[in-house]
Amino acid sequence: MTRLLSASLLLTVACGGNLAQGVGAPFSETWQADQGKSIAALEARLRATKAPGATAVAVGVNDSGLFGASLPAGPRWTHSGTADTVPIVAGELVVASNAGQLFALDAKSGKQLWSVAIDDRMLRGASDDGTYTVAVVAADNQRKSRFLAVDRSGSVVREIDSTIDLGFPAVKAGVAFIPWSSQYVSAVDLKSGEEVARLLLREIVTQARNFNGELWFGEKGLVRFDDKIRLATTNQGTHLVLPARQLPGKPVWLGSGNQLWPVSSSARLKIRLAATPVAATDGVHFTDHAYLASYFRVVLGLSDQDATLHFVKSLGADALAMSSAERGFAVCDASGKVTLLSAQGGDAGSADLGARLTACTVDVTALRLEQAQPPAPLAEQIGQALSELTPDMAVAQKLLVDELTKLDDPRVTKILIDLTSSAKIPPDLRAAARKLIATRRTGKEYMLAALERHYDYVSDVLLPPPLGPLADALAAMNEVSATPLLARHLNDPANDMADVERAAIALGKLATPAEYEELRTFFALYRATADEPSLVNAVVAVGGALVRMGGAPGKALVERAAQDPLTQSEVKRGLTALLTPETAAPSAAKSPNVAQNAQRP
Amino acid sequence: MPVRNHLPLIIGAALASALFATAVAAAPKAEKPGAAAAKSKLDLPSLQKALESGDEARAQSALETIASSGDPAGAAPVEALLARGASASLLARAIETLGILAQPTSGAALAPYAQHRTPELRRAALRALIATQSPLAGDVLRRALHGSDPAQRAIAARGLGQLNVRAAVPELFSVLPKDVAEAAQSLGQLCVREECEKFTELLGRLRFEVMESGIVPLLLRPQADVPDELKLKLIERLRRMATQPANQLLQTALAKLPADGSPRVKLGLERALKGYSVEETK
Repeated sequence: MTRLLSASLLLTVACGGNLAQGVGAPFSETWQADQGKSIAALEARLRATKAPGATAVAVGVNDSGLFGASLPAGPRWTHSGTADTVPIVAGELVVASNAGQLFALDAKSGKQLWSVAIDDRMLRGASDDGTYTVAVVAADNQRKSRFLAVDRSGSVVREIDSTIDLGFPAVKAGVAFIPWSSQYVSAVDLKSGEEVARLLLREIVTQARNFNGELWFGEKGLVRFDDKIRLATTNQGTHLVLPARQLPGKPVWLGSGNQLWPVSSSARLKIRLAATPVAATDGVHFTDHAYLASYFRVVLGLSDQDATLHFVKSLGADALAMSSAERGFAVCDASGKVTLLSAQGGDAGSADLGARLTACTVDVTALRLEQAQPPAPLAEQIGQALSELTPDMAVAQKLLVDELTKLDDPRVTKILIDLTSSAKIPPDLRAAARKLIATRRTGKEYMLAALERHYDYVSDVLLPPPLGPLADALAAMNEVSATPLLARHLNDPANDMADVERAAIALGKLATPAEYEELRTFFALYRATADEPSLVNAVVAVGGALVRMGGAPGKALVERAAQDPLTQSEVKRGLTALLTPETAAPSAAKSPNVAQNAQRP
Repeated sequence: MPVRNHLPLIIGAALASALFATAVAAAPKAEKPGAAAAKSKLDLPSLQKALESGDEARAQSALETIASSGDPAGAAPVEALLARGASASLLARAIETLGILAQPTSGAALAPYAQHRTPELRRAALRALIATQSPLAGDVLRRALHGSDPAQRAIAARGLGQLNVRAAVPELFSVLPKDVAEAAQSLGQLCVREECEKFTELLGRLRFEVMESGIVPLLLRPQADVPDELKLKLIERLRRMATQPANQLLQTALAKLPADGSPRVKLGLERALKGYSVEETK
């Protein structure tokens, strides 16, 4: 079938001044779909040749230069002069552009190997096969893509200007793979300039990527360049995609290969996904069976099967770049630190690029990082991340709180309690954490410890504990050991009234004679001064407790109050109901009970 | 703070004690049971009945009678009213009445109200506690210093000085930089030696308005508590500030200095007010 291109295609193909055109010229409008024959033949021809993997390196950028370091623990280097788009690790090189020049640095030493003029264009994508470096450069305004192939001496061996957007290219054994028109990958022989094969995909393809020597094509999902590539046109190639999951900031993995990644403080660089596809005997998957998601200072390690959370790493600065290794991960942040993580998210070392950064690139796809220290339990990781997040990170905070609730770990209770006590936590999230505490049935020791705390201006404890939710949870757990602490909170005016009400209801169920004095004090103070419904409910609940466990004196106290004209009318009604057995049940049902409270923040 | 955990016990004990007081009804506080009642001009049985009537107007009238009599024997039925609980307006008047009667034993009935959720009631309870000079007052005021109500903290900070609660000095130092200016006055009254030095070192670090209420009390303290050397140092610092408020403090201190006060301090104040260094008086 002949596929006609709707857009005009203007090609200028240069090779030492010679033009290559006609049949076999790249990006031909008259190409006829060949059911994958040409690309399959090329794959068979190149199968024995492995493209070189990338050198393990991190390269940061700021206004004054590029700052590199070999990983996991190699020497540092610097390169004066900045970059206008995020540099790319291509085999043994770091390719970058600045001020109309495309240049390559040795990834290990930072030494500049070559530089070529690219007019007003900037680097969009690059790859290297050990002999040639290919790159696509483009201007801010689209339709000015240029493909370049440069040899180690800095000579441009192939240059193609195109009015159609060219995507992120790859190269293997002298053949460049150039995505274009979001549908095709043209394979161009760099020596002849001929298009020797073409791949037509039924999904968006703007990326041709070399992951540790293997080529993959696509954008959201990737198709492997292997013996099934012939079937890719009919969606039967070797395909891999990250599991769908809503993540803070809606991060993208590779993103469109047709776009530039300018060096800027934009959030776009800080909200990303990172994953490395790999083919194994059991099929294709992502290394470590996981991928990374960044959201400013937080990095999540997620399952490549179902996106469940494996680990959380909080950083000292915004994440700017990430890479998945054969085993483990690397994250480069704005402080210039490169954090190395084991496959489980444990500590695997770090490197320092020596400067604060605006952008960074890191590639550890060929590394196997060993764990120096295992990670803390996931609940603690989440708690740590939550404590370090700033209030403007509400989306990430919410996700982490949601993750917490999936864990059956008593420490979750402590983390939720800490959240409610932190001034850094936005009110919505604090309310959510309070709601979750009420549903907890483990972590009693943390609940009791929290109840030991009171508002204390002298000691700068300026938020009381989440009394209401704790009371609900402890009542549901029938935790009688909590009663002295709950009783003490009844008479602390720093507690929110709604919380006091919930504590009173819990005490209505749990209180023992040991709390009689505290309850009687509360009853005396408020039976005639209750001026809001929650306080009325609290007094009636305490009255119920006094009747239940206070013996004759308790009952007499409540009876007198029920008779006293000074007793607040609603309280009086509630107390009368308490003292009348046949009506007690319906009256009690009017008050919020523990189960209902679980729905309250 | 150690005081925190004792408070529930204090409140519980206070209420229990107040209820006990109900049983002994009109027993006067500072005298042997029966003696004050016998001497009292108040019709205590009738007043007690009015306070227990549940009739707001009658109870208010009874409280007026007791308050205007100033008779300590009237304290017991009022304490009993507080222990039972009543409407906010009755409670306010009852608390005020106990403050007027100023009986130390009323502290037990007043203490729980220092934690009432109604700010006016708890502030009134603190003021009344200070007036009673109850042995419970120190702990209750210290607790109030930890609370969330700024007005309550101010009353407590001032009261701790008035009641000479030395144990509160560390807490007063804690709240002083947090703009509880009343703590300065109490620290000026309570500090001894190193504490006073610590206090004077805060001059210049904290706002003058926060510190100033503690300066004159400190300058008037006896030599045994605050050495003259420290006072002279403070006078010199105030002189060097050369501001009208600082000068005013020096004048006030000189005016209030007792006739048998330290001659060196007096000379220092006089020299400072004339603009001379006090160094030579040392």
